[in-house]
Amino acid sequence: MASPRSVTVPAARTVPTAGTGDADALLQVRGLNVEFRVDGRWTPVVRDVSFDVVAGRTLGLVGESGSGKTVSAMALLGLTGATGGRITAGSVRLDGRELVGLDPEQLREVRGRQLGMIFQQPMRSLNPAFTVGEQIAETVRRHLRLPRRQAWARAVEMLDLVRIPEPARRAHDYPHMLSGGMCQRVMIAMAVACEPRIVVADEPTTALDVTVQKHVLQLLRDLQEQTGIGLVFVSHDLAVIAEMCDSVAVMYAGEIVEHGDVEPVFFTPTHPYTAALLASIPRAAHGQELRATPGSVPAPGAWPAGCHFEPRCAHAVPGRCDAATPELVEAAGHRARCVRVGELQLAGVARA
Amino acid sequence: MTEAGRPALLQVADLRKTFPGRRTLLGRREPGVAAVAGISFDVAAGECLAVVGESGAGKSTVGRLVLRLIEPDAGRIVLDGTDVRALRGEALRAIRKDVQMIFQDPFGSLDPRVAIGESVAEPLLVHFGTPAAERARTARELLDRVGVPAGYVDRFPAELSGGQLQRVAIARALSLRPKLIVCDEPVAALDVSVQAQVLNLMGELRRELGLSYLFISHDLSLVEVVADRVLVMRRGEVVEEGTISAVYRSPQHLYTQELLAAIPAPVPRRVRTPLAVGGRLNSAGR
Repeated sequence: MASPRSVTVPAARTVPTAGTGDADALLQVRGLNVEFRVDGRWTPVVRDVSFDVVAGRTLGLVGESGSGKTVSAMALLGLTGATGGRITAGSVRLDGRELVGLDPEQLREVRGRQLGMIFQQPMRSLNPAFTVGEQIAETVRRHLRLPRRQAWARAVEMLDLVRIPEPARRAHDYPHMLSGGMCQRVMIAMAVACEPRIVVADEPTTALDVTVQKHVLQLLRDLQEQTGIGLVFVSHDLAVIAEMCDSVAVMYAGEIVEHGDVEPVFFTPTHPYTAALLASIPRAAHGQELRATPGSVPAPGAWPAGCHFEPRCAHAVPGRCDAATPELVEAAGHRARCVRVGELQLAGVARA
Repeated sequence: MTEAGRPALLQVADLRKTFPGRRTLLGRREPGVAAVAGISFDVAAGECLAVVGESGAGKSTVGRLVLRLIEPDAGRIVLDGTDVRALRGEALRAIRKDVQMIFQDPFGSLDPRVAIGESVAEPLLVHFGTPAAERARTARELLDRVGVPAGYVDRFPAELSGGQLQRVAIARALSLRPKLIVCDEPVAALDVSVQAQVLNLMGELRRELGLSYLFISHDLSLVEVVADRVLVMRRGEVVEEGTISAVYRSPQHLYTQELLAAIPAPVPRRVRTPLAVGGRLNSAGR
């Protein structure tokens, strides 16, 4: 469990950092456990996840498939039940209000007004039968209770905000008439149309070409600067996380294994999994053989008894690492879930 | 001949393919799309040539044309001195042994109802009618070579992870001892830590068996690590071609420069903007 530490702001920083236990966090997730049915049995999929999201800052949830990053994001959106899971422990507080335990109608209200979401497949998230303007206007009408004409004006304004050219004309387009990048801009417009405090973006640029990705990431950063939104950015792509986030939680097999500001996590990782992940990025290898990690992520229900990464870890010590699941401990300005913290010298990415 | 002086295994000249346009409501055809608009390249024996580009660039079509999975409209494809386009029937089947393919989605490229040992050696049955006992032995050897435990021969695709399945797909591609493997986004569906395993395996096999790869990818950072040379495609055309070090160090074409500049670097950006107070959106409706 994360205990909110006193706000000791590092000398170089004038603003609180997201993610490591700020008292003034917009959103606080504490000790979250989520289960899903696997082969008919309730199975833990996310365990003891805690993080904060601060206004105007971006928290990255990074991990491979099966790490629990999307399940964690769904939990803070109140979508665990809707996706077939259940929260068995922990709390999600938005502006001091507990979201765990609210009924679906209350959650819908919170999602509409205070939380926005952007998913990987914009084409699939939009309704093909309505124009993009109608879809944004409908959201605005329902949640901000604006009259029809004003809602439409708001939709056009939002399309302009996400830099869609000729927004008044484009508002009449159906989703299939737009490119993938334009669709994702529409999704972003819809996500921010009701002025949410928090936006959750789950792999928002994974389906996009690299040049389009660049513009969408820039758009998200600019919107955040203008609006002070707290952004939760879920991705498997460490380079995108490095570019977008202020703080990062590295997830592996259902747990946060390393958590802190992006700089210490990327430059001086203290968990062997983070180091292994960083070493497998082609861009960091620069012509040299990629460092591969043997094995693959264990499925929920097949988690090892000790450290979840122990069977694949080059630094594992029998008797210590396979005994019990380690707690997150303070390490070099951030936190890591490793019993060997302080003993290991791990390489991160080189400073540019 | 390629610049390294190695004989070209594959020579492609002025390859073209236009897909027909959609029919309009009145039954007229819209103009077709030139997916590949006259491109030429060589792949030397033992070389890895990458074809990069964004979606719609035509890079996958190039791979399919080389394999003759789709018929080109025009152009020459010469493999090891033989004009592939002139071949028919038995001769075409024979040369197909020399060129194999690995696809992006290993779940989709293996039959879910067939045990992986059988899948791996199936090409031997199709091409040579190899008896079952020999196929089983070859399957175990190949699986061992790609790092899949030999005990997995009787398992089905659903029981394997994505990385393991891609190893199985590689073993299957190797079963006919090909000279060239066309790899279409071979690791795009895999997790990063597993990507490295598969790419390193592909590198080892290339060195050991003298294989050539036509490596199709959207991921420029990956291509930098695995390929010797690169073709940059855009809208069916090659806009730039060269060795990895030349293209990545000093890209000549504006589009290549744009592509390379768009790759995010895995290094935290240290420019932080001050927190916004009462921004444009938040002032509106609260």
